[in-house]
Amino acid sequence: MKKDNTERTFESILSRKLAEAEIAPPDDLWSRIEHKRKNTRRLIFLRVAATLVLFLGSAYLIHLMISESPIETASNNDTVIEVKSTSLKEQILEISESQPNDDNGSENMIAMAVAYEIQPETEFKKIDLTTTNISSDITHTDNQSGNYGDPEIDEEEEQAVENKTINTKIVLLPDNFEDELPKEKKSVQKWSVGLAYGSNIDRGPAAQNGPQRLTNSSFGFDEFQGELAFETVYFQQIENTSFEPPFSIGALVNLPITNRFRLEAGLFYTLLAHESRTMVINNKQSVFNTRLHYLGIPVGIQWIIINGRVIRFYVSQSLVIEKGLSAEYSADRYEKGRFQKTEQSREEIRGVQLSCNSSIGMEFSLPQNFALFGQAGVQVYLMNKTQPFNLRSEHMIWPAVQTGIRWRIAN
Amino acid sequence: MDEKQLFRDCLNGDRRAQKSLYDRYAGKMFAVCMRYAKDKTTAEDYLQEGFIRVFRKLNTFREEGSFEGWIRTIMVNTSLEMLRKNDLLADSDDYMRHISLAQPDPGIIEQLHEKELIALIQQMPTGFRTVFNLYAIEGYNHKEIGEKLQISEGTSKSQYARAKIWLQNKLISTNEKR
Repeated sequence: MKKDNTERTFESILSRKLAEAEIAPPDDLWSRIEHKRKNTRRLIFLRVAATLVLFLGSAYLIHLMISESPIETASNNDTVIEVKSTSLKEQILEISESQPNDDNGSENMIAMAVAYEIQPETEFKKIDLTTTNISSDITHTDNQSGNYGDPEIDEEEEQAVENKTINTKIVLLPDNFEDELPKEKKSVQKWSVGLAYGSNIDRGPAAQNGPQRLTNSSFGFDEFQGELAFETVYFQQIENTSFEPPFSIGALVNLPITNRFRLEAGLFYTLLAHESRTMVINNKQSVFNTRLHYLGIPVGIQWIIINGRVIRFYVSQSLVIEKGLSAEYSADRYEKGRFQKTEQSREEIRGVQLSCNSSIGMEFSLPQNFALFGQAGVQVYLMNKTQPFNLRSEHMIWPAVQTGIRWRIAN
Repeated sequence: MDEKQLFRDCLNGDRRAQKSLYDRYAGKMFAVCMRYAKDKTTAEDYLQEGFIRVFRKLNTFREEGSFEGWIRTIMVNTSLEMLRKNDLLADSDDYMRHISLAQPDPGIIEQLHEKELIALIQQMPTGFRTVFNLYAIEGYNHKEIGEKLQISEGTSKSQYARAKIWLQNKLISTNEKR
C-alpha cells in the first residue's frame, strides 16, 4: 500500500492517534453477537434440510413421472387397466406402436414378453407370434396351438402346448399379477425388458445386441429354424444375467465462481460389463460377455452448504455426456459342460448417453488445492434406449456413489 | 494466552476463547467502526456484523500475518459493505461551499483526544469520511480506494482533498472555541 505522497504530517499524526484508539462497545453487544450467530447456524441447518427435502422430493417425483403413468387399452368394450409395472407398460406401448405385419424381430420379442405376462403359465416357445395379430388396439384374440412343426420338440412339450390356449388380448390384468408369477419366471420377464430396450431401435436386434450378433440364427439349442426360432426362443434361453458394478476413473477440475458456487468439469472413463448365461438345453450352454467402454464429460455446478476450513458439504448438479468408445462381445460355448470355443467381436457404439447427476457430498481439504471427496446421489439416464443393452438400459434412475480426488483451480 | 493459541481455540469452537477474542479486540475494532459510521448505533451494527464474519471466516486466516490486522481488515470491509454505496458521495458537495482553505496547526491534532477526533470524523459527509479513513488511517492508496469503493481514482483524490480541508476547518473552529 504505497502512499501517494510521503510528506503527510497531518495524516501521520492522525493515523498514529487513531490507529491505536479504543472505545468500549456496549456491554450487551457480545450477547447480541452470540444470538445472531445461533440464528445463522439454525439457518444453515434449515438450508441443509431444505436441500435434502428438495433433492429427495425431486428424485421421487422423477421416479413417479417415469414409472406411474397409466396406459389404457383402446377398445371401448374392454376395461381400461392401469398397469403398475413399468416394464409391462413399456412393452405394451411398444406393441401398440408397432405395425402388425412388420416382421421386425425386436417387436416380436417384446410381444412375446407381453404374452408371457398375460399368460404366465404359458410356455414361451410354444407361441407363434408371427401368426399373432397384435393390432394397434391391442384387443385381438387369437387362439392357437403352439406347434411350429418342429420335429425335434419333445413330446412332453408338445403335449403341454396342446393343452394351453394362448390369449394375447390385453384385458383385466390383476394388480398383483406379478406377485403371482413363479419366481424363476419373474426373473425371465425382467431380463426380457432389458433386451427389449436394447433391441428397440432402428438397427434391429442383430446389430444391437451382443449375443444376438454373435449367434445370429444359430443361437437356439437345436438350431431352431431360422429367425422365427431365434426370435421366439431367445429369452427363455437366458438363465441369468449378472452385471458387474460400473467402474469409472477420471479427473475432475473445480473452478470457484463465488464463495458458495463452483463450476466443475472433467473427463472420465467408464466400463460397463455384464454376463448372460443360457440354460443348458440339449447339453449345450453359452455364456455371453459384454464389455462397453465409455468416455464421459461431466459439467456441473456445486453449491457449498457448509464451507469449513477442512471439511465442506455441498450439493451438486451436473450433466454428463458419455460417448461409447467400443463394445466388446464374446460368447463361450459349452457342450456337455466342457468348453468348446469362444467367439469374439468388437463394435462401434453409436450415439451418446446423456445423464443428469444430483448429489450431496463432502470433501476434505488436502494440500496444494487438492481435496478428497465422497458424494452420493441419483443419476438419471436419458436417451438410454439408443445405447447397447447395459445396466442402465432397464434402470433409468440409478444410485450414484462417487469418491476421488478433486483439484481446485483457485481458492 | 497468546494470539495464535487464541486463534486455534476459537477455530475449534471454544466459546470461552471466542469471548476472550472479543474482549481483546472489541475496543479497538469499535473505534474503527466508529470512524466509518455516522453514529454510535450504526457503529455497533458494523461491529456486530464484523465479529460474526470474523468467527465465520476464522478458517481462512493463514496464520502468516497479524491476527489483529486480519480482524481489522474484516471490520473495515464490513463497514464499507454496509455503507450504502448510493449514499457514499451524495452529501459531499454541499459541505464545500462554506469552508475556507486555512491550514490548521498540526499541534491542534496532538491536543485532541482520540474520541474527540473520532467524533469530528463522524461528522464528515459519508464520502469524505470513508475516503479519508481509508487513505489517512488505513493506508490504502487512491487506486486501491477506487477499486474498493468502485469509484475512479480521481474521485478518490478529490474526495480526500475535500475531506482534508473539511477536517482542517473543523479543527480550526474547534481550537477557536477552546
